[in-house]
Amino acid sequence: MNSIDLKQDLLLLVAFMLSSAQGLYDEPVEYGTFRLIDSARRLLKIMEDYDLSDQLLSEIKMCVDEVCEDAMDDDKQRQYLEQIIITISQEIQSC
Amino acid sequence: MQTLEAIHTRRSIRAFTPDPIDEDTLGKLVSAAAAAPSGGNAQNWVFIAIHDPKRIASIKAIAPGIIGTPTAIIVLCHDTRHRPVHSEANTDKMIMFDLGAAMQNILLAANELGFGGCPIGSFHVGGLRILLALPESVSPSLLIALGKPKFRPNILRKRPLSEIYYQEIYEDRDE
Repeated sequence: MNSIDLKQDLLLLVAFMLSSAQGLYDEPVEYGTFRLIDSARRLLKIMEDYDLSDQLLSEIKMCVDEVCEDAMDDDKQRQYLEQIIITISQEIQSC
Repeated sequence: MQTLEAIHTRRSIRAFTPDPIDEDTLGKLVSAAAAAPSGGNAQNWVFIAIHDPKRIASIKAIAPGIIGTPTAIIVLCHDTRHRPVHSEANTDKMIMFDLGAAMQNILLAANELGFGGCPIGSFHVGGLRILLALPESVSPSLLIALGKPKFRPNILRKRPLSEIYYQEIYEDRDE
């Protein structure tokens, strides 16, 4: 995969984010949370595909995948996100 | 698989394995869709099956409702050129019922054939028109993301029959 592929994949991500924003005018508010999670998931996938990931990001992606694929209730999803953000914050702090 | 079994074991599948759906299977699914009832037998519909991974990736970018990576997508469209048998207002209403019946046929057939799917209403109509080269007279109403289920959800969140089922007449059951 080269920079042209990367540019194309990033363009698809931008299209997804903007289509999500446009669609959310008419969709339930709760969908917004999920669209943001899915955006993060897609970005993490691109980072993985282009060797821009590392062990921590791979672990975060696995957690985000689980949030997307499991039919979690809102409380469980919220707890899961909370834990992921704590993990990322610890990583940011240690940098 | 018997009909009732197909109905009751169907689940909305959003996570898929990379296993492709062959053209023969897609043909069977569209054939099942076309066997659905339609108001006045108008059949004002068009079905577009997509299995090219690059095109699927493009559609995913403008269809936020698609969560996993399906190996096929069927687009259910209203073909406004074909046999208007109702008034315009009724046609707009009936086509949604007709496409709903076609959608269910696809999902049940997919279940029987070992695949699964999820109806998708969140997509950008204008963007999809461009990606699929749709003329103005063909309007995309619904997508179905399809593939081999990565897993089958067990939970079926349905309202109990006691809440929704009445015999002979409606009765107020509010406490």
